[in-house]
Formats: sequence, C-alpha cells, structure tokens
Amino acid sequence: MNKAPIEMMKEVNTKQEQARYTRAFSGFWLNLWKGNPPGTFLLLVSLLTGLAMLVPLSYVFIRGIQGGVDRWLNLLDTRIPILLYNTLSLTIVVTFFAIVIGLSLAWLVIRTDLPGRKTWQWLLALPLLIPPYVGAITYIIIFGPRGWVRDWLGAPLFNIYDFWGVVFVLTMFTYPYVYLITSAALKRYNLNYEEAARAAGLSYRHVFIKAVFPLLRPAIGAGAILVALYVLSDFGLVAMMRYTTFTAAIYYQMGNYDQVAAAILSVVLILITLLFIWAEAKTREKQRFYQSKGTPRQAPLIELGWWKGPLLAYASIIFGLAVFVPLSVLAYWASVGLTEGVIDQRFWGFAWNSFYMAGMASLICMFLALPVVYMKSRNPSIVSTVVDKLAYAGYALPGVIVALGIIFLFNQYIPFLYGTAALVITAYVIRFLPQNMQAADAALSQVSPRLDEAARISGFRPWQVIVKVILPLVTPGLLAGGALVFVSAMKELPATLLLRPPGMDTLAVRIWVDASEGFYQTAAPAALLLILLSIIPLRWMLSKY
Amino acid sequence: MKKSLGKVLATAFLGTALLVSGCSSSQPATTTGSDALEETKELVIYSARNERFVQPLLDSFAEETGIEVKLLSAGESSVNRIMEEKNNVQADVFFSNDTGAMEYLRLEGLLQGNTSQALNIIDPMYRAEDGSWVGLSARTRVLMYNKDLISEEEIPKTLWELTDPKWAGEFMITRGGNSSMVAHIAALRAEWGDEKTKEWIEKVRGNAGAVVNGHGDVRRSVGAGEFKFGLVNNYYFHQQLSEDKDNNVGAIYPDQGADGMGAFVNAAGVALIKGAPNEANARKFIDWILEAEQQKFFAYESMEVPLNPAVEANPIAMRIDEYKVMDMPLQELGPVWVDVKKLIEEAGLDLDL
Amino acid sequence: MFDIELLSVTKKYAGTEKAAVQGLCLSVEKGQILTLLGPSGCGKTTTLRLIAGFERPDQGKITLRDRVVSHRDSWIPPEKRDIGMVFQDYALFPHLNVIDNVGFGYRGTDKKGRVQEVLQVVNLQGFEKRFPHELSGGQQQRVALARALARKPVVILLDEPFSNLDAELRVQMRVEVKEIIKDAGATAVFVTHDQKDALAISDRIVVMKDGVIQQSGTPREIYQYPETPFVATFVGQSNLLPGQIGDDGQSVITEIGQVPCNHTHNLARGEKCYISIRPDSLEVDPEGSIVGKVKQWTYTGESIDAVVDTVTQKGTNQELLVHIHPEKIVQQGEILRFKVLPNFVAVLRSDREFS
Repeated sequence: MNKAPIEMMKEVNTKQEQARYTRAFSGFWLNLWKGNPPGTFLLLVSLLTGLAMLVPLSYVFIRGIQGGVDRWLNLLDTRIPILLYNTLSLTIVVTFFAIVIGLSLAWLVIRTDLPGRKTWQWLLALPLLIPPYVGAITYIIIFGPRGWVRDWLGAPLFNIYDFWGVVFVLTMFTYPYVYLITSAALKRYNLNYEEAARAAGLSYRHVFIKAVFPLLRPAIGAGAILVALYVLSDFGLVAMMRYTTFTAAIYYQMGNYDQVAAAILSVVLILITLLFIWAEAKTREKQRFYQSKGTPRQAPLIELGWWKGPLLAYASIIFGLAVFVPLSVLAYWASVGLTEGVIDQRFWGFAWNSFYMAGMASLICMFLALPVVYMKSRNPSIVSTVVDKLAYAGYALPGVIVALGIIFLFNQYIPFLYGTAALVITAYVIRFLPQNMQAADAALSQVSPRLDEAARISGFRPWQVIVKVILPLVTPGLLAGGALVFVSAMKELPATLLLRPPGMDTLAVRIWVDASEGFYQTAAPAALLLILLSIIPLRWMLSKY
Repeated sequence: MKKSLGKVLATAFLGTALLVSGCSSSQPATTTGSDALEETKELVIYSARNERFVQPLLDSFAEETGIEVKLLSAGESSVNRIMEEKNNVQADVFFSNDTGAMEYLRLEGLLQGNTSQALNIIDPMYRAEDGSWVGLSARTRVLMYNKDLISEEEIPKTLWELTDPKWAGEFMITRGGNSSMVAHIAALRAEWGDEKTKEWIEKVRGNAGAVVNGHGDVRRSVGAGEFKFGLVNNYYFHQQLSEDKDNNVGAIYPDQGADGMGAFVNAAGVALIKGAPNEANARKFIDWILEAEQQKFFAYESMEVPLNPAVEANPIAMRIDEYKVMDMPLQELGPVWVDVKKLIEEAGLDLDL
Repeated sequence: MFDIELLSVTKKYAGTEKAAVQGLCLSVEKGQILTLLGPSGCGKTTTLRLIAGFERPDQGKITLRDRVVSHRDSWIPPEKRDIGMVFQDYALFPHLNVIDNVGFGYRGTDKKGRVQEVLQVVNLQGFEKRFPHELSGGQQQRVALARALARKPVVILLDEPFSNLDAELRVQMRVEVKEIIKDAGATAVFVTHDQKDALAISDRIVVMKDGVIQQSGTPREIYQYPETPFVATFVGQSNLLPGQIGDDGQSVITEIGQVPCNHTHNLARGEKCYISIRPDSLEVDPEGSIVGKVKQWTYTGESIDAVVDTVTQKGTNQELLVHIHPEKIVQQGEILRFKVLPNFVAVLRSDREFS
C-alpha cells in the first residue's frame, strides 16, 4: 500500500530524468549542427547516400585486412613489389609528361600569339572525348605487332606494348586535365606580378620561372592529381596494352574469383591513392598564394616571332596524335564495319543496355546529389562534412574496387538483386556521383542562403523550400551533372565487365571484347558513338574550368 | 519554363522508381525445385568459349524455341563465378573448353545429373558418369610454328625438349591459369609425377620468350613472326592458317615417337548446373545441341574436331585417330584441377599476368 | 502593447569566445519602427535573425504578439512565426516574376487581389510580369517590401535594406519605405550600420555594441543626448571632452572653458563627466569664448569641415572638429572664435567606458 507514493515518485523521477536526457540530447544535437539541424528527410537521404558510398569500400578494406597474414606475406613477397614498381613508375612518369604537355600548351594558347589560338583552345581539350582504352586500341591498330606500320614497312618500328608505349598513349589522353585547369588559371592570372617582375629587369624566361610558374602551381597540382588518380584507376588502357598495374591485377584476381587476393591488392591501392591525394594537399598547403583581386586585364600576347612555326607544329603534332589519328583510325574501321553491316539489331541492343544502365545511374545521381550538397552548404556540421567526403570517395577509387565491394555486398546480403543490372547501376552511382555533386555544388553556390530564408519566412517548411526554390534554380546544374554522369557511365569499362548480368553487354564492353579479338570493324562504330555522346557535356566541362 | 523543368525532373524520378521495380521483378525467380520444372521464358548461359562460336548457336536456339537466351561470356572466370554463386544460382548451362573444369564442378556438387537419351550419342569416355556434363569437340595441344623462321625438322618433337636452353626466348606460352594450360599440366603431372612436372614448368617458364594471356595472342604473334613457335590448341593453328595474312604457319603433334606419351586431347562441352533457375530450358538446350547439325556447327566454326564420329569435321583439321593421344581418361582431370594450379604457381608460372 | 519582446536573450555561436548577443532585453510597440544600429559585429543582425527564427538563442525568451516563439523547450520555426522580412540583397526568387514573388507563400483565396493591393502600396503596378533581373535596384527593393507585407505579418524585419542602393535612391527609399510601413500599420525592426538611415526611418533607435545595448531612444534623443561616448561618436561626429558639472547645473567646466548645456542627466554639481559637442554646435562668433587656429579644412559643399587647434587652460593643445557655414572663406592658420550652441551638447556619464 505504501508502495504507491514511492513508485509515483520514481515515476516522476524517471520522467524528469527522461526530460533531462531529452534536453541534453537536443542540446548536443543542436551543438552538433551549430544550432541549425537539417530536416529529417534531408538528413535521411544524405546519410543513406553516405552509407551507400561507405559500405562497399569499407567492406573491401575489411576483407583485405582480414585476408590473413599468410596471404599478405605471400603477396608482399611475390606480386606487390612488382605491381608497386609498375604502378608508381607509370603514374609518376605519365603525370610528369602530362604536366609538361598540358602546361606548355596552355601557355601557348592563352599567352602567346600562336596563330588560331582561340580555335586551338578547344581543339586541344578534345582528347577528353576519347576513352583512353579506345585510344589504346587505335594505337595498337597502327603500331601494334600486327599493325598498319608493320604491314607497310614489314616490321613494327617499336614495341608499343613496352613501358614507354603505355606512357605515350596514357599521356596523350590525360594531358587535357592539366591543360584545362592551368589554362583557366592563366586566364585569371593577374598580370601585375608578371609586369612587376619584368619591370625588375628579368628576362621572360626568368619571369616565367620566378613569377608565373610558382603562381600556377596550385592549378598544376590540381591537374596533376587528376592525372595521377586516373592512371591509378585505369583498367582498360593498361590491360589493352598488356601492362599490369594494381588495378589490372585486381581485375585479373577477380576474374579468377580470388576475392581475398583482390581485396588485399585493393587495400594497397587505396593506400597509394590516399598517399597521392595527401601529397598533393600537402604541397598545396605549403604553396598558399592569394592572387590579389581585381578585374584581370586583357593580357598582352607574347610574340613568338621566329618560334611561331616550330611551336605551331608542336601543337599540331599533339592534336594529331591525341585526336586526329585516333579518330581517323576509328572512322576507317567504322566505315569497314558499316559496309559489313555490323550496325544491326544486336548493336542497338548493346546501345540500349548502355543507355538504360547509364541513364538510371544518372537519374539516381541527380536525385542523390542535391541533398548531400544542400546539407553541406546549408547545415554545416561534422556530419554533413563526413557525408560529403564519403560521397566524393568514389572519385578517387578505381572501378574494380567499387565492383569488388558491390559483389561482396550483393552476393551476401542482397542476393535477390544479384545478377541484375542493379549491381552495375550501383557501381556507376558510386563512381560518378561526385561528378554530379560538383555540378550541383556549383549551381547551389549561385543560390544565396537568403533565398532559403526568404522562403522559410514566407511560410514554407525546409523540404518545401527545396522543392519550391532550390530545385528550380539548380535544375540546370543538376541536369548538366547528370549528363556528365551519363556519359562517364556509358564509357565505364572495368566495373561493367565484372558486374554485368548475362545478356547485358554494353557498348563499352563490346568495344573491349571485340577489340581484344581484333574485330575492329564492330568495335569502331561503338567507340565513335560513345565519343559523339561525350560531346554533350563537353561544353559544360569546358566552362567549368 | 523553369517551373516545368522541375516537373519533368519529378516525373523522371517517379519513372526511375517504377523502372527499377519493374526491372527487379522481371528477374528470374531463384527456385530450385527440380521435380516440377517451372516453365520459364529464358535461359542463362555462362560461357568460357569464344563468343563467336557460341552466339550463332544460341541465336538459332532462341529462334526455334522462342526462349530468350542470355549469354555471359565470362571466360575462365565462369568456373569461379559458378562456385561463388552456389547459394544464389544464376546460370543454367555452362559452356566449357575444359573437361577438367566441368568434372571439378561436378565433384564440388555444383552440377545436376542428366539421364537424357540424347547423351548416348557421345562416347562415355567424353562425358560425366552422371551425365551432368558432356563433351562435344576435341582440342589437342600442338606446337605451332612460323615457317619463315623455323623448319619442321628443327622444331622440338617432344614437350620435354622445351626445357632445352637453346630455345630460350624463342617460343610463347600462355599464363598458368589458362584453362587449357591447367588441364595440359594436370595431364603431364599424371604422366610424370609432381617433381618432373615442376621442373618442366620452371624451365619452360624460364625459356619462354613471352607469357601471354591467351592462345589468340600466341597464334597471332607466332603468325606475325614475333616468336618462332608457341604452345597452343590445334584449332588455333587451323584458325591462323585461315587468316588472310601471317598464315605461313605449321604445327606438329608432340611426343608421337614409338615410346612417346602422345599429344594431350581435351574436350569442350556443356554442363547442366544444379539449381538452375530455368532447368527445363537447360535440359531442352542440351538435348538440342547434341543434334548432329548443332554438333557440327559447334566444332566446325572453331575448327575443332567433333567427338561424335558421325559428325562431319572441318577438312583442314586433323582427325583424332590420325595421331597418337595420351591415354588418360578426361574425368581424371577433375580431382587435380585446383591442386594443379597450386603446383603451377609454386613452380613459378603466374596464373595471371 | 508590445508586438515584439526579447527577454534576457543570449546567443553565442559555436566556436566563438564572446556571445554575439548578451542578455538582450528589447520591446517594440505595435506600429512602431525600431532600428538596431551599430557597427558590424555588434549583434544587431544576430538579434534580427533570432527574432526571425534563423538562429536559436541559448537563453532567454522571445515573444511575438503574445505568442512565445522561443523559450527553453518551446520553439516555433521561422515559417510559423508570421513574419515578413526584407533582406539586404532582397533575396527575390530569380525564377519567379513579380507577381509570384510577392504572392510567394500567400495562402489566402484572395491571392490575386492581395498581390495587386501591395503592389499598389509599393507603387509597382505594371511590373507584374517582370523578373527580378529586369528590375532596377529600387524596384527590387519595393518588390521585396511588397513580399514582406503581402501576408500581413505581425512584424516586418528589414536587414540593411538600403545598403545596395546608390546615395540618391537611398534618400528617396528611406522616405518611401517609412511611409509604406506606416501606411500598412506594421511593426518593424530595421537593422543598419548607417546612422542617417536610422535617424530618418525610426521611431526608436537601439544602439548596440559588442552584443549589448548602449542606448535606446528616439532619433532625437540619440543624436542630441547620447549617453555614452560610443553613441556620441558612432551616431554623428562629436568632440568629446572631460570635465565636471558647473555650479549653475546648466554647464560643464572643461579645459577649453565653461560650456553651456541644457541636458545634464541630472548629474550633481561638480560631478565628473564627459561632454559631447557636435561639430555643428560650434558656431563662428567674433564674441565667442573659444579661440582656435584652423589646422586643416575640407570644403564638402554642405559645410566646411575644419579641424581647429585650441589651447587649453593648462596650455596643452586640444583639437576640435567644427562645421563652418560654407559661405565663409577660411584659410589655414586663420584664428577664429567660436561659441557653443547648447542644444547639441550632451553630458555623458564618466563611469561609462570610453571607446
């Protein structure tokens, strides 16, 4: 009988305690978000996106680390040293040449009176349209052991499959990253520094070394890291040219379904990738320059004089090697294919598969990009930063590792979707969501947070604000990003090869399979179609830099 | 204008959701009931064979039956893929170039027995005891050479001669994990024992001028004169002969001497997968492919030799009774299939490049 | 009756040492225009955002027309506070035309009529179909105001609304905006760092510094009788001199002599204080008691802004800022005499900190 009041008191106590906890938690929650927590829906979509990005990769990582000491020691003893040497030497050498070519061309077309410089400015960016594995195919067709050169001269002039052959082809199709970013930096570059240096009596060569180059270093670094990350993640080109890097080795291990070895090699590759990103960030830290603001003046062009001829030849040769030659080879084989009638129902079936899976991926990316980017911009906190960083992870990681994670995950936990296009689409989303996020980010940065507040104050809830104000304003950016994702996904090779369900070959897969078999007449039309599609987002890409 | 863009986008999202659900629901149900075979409309085939030799067959099967055939040309990874998917079976039929691989899968319990009368047309030597797999065409290991670079007299006559330092840098082999290579080494091991086989691998690996991914690379390179000769299956030689250029090649069947062990003959065939989602269609397909017309196509296009003596062979191919063959039954390759890979790796020949 | 009440509101941003707003108490009567005036970082914008609900206070209570919108566990988000707001950059929706911008969020059935009504109030008929980028700065401002008014909010908040306008338009818009708000009978809080805006538009001005209210009063009170040195120098220019209340209680004895003064905050005779003398309240007068030499002068058109050196009774120099009538010819080094007009002289308590 006496219990009742005590229990009541207890109840009161627990209620008070609950209230206290609730208040403590809400205090913590508000602090976490700096007093500005996001809406539930926004938070949920963002968190799920982050999770979807995180899970496959961490799964690969864990599987790799759990691979067992024996397997690790074995691989460290045998394959890893060679792969390390192959991968690092290729990455460093290609990055170096990409910088040399990209920077010199950027300087030529922006700062000198090179004849037709305006036209050269976009011509020299065109290699971006050509998937590097397609470029490799065209060079194998010409210089390969059974290529055209051998047919004409009786012997191939050199071995295209050796290290320098791989370096050459990779450089031709990656230098535009450096070229575009340094071009943009040169355009923004404040001339006063250069003039001050010249006024100080330095010759132009010295001016370049002392005043221009150091100020361009952040841009060069940004371009170089893109090149390096590409080389680390490339599968199609190196495999086509029989050069084995980590990415290729992981692919072969997966073909063998030696998932443990693949996971172990993946861990090493992830570490290398992080090392490169870290190194680039480190140099940027040391090289923090602030260019004074002010409207950039029209740069007086440097007169090339006697050098005009040789430098024009240089630009023409690069363009010829990186664009004209590959396109001509493709055009030739495509015409052979057309007369043989390879553009049949099967071809369009593959095109539809590409279109379907790339289209789905781009729709999903458009849907996911905005919440993540919006939350980062409008509700800054550790949570939104982590989600944002996670979502960008796919950018740096090779398709093979993404594929490995997806196979693990679907086969174990989502078996009913295993063997469907969902695997491929998921891989595309993880790989290419960052491209859509960049576009969405750029679009959103043009929308003042005051607009959100104006909409809130006009009586709309946070999610209504997104629908009524943000979405209409960022839709062009989202669509541009979606187009970029679409094209990237159409061209994607390694993850598609590993994950495609039976009967779902894409154009990229067919290019790969047919070219490996030497059926260039069927590979070339598909390659040309991919290149034509890539023109769609090129305009946007060029304006981005 | 901009307002309508938003609407378009929203509609697109909705469409996506519908498409996704539609896509996943149209996937085959993974039922395993074999007593009452479900009527399904499709057939999933994993193939380690070159697609060009498979696709036309599948097209005509699809045309005749109305069944949608989905092909995954997964190469040699097919075996591992089938094993990986044993709890979530995707494939119905496996096209293999290697009886060792098929018998291995059978021993692992991944194949389904088949008592169809149609199988009887093939010699029991070349099919599984439970009928789960059946061979269709023979493929013999030969040394193919470039006649511009070396004469028939000079070429090694036995496989063991490849260990001679005088051939250093002169010939090509495939990587150790190539299924024909694995099966071949398994057979050598049965003949020579572990030690001698290992020694052979080590020395051949050291002598080989190039170790490449597949036999296509070997035949093209030898044809182009990059190397004097290479170890391939006989039909690669036949294929190279039919090329427009680089076709001045010859081949010898090794170990044909009086006390020679004979050339190694493997078989390509089809296997029925246990728990196949479309088992009825798979059985129908295997019966169909054992019809003479299909058997002829199966071997003819790839220039292999049919195992069914009643089926006409490609005239440029040597008949299986025209040379001496190793007397090892093919089923015996199964148990040592994985083990041999280990041996190959230990002997220093990489399974993969 | 108060439409807005803030009670001991404190807001500290994460990662900062000092509170942006400290123990702020504020109340605005219905129909009044209140201006929060202060330099950047003084907490005026934070205060506005706290009222709007874009920030949550750490402590204190905010009431809007008898409804508690923020207090401990109770929190009403901005969209439910029934507030209209004019943003510094106007924040017009670029994808919507004038009608849709003004009608944005209006829920009533008479949307069309109401939009026309407010467009008439801000004098923008005929611009209905235009998009923001097709409007001039002043027109954008009016659209923003119309949008804020359309929903007949309890209060209107204006965040530096004139800062993006050029000088001439600015003067014109001050008058217009004040009229529009008054006609609408709205209660308004207005944030600015520009004292001229504040003086022109407000019924009451609250001068803030470092998150704390310095002085609150009518524009006249703030300008004529600043209570602290900060207010005196921030709102208009001023000469600050130390001194003590004279024996008559109507003057302050300083180093440059006895200065007459009407408003002494009831300080006792002989008590130490500061005195603020506006440059306008020093008038050139040959009979004047203050003698000084013109050190430098600038002709601004409206006046001649001169710095005059005077010698104090102690013999040290004291510079004074003086506005001289523009008609007069002044030369550097010229000796002038001044008298002090008592209406623009204010006594400041010396116990308030001197900025």
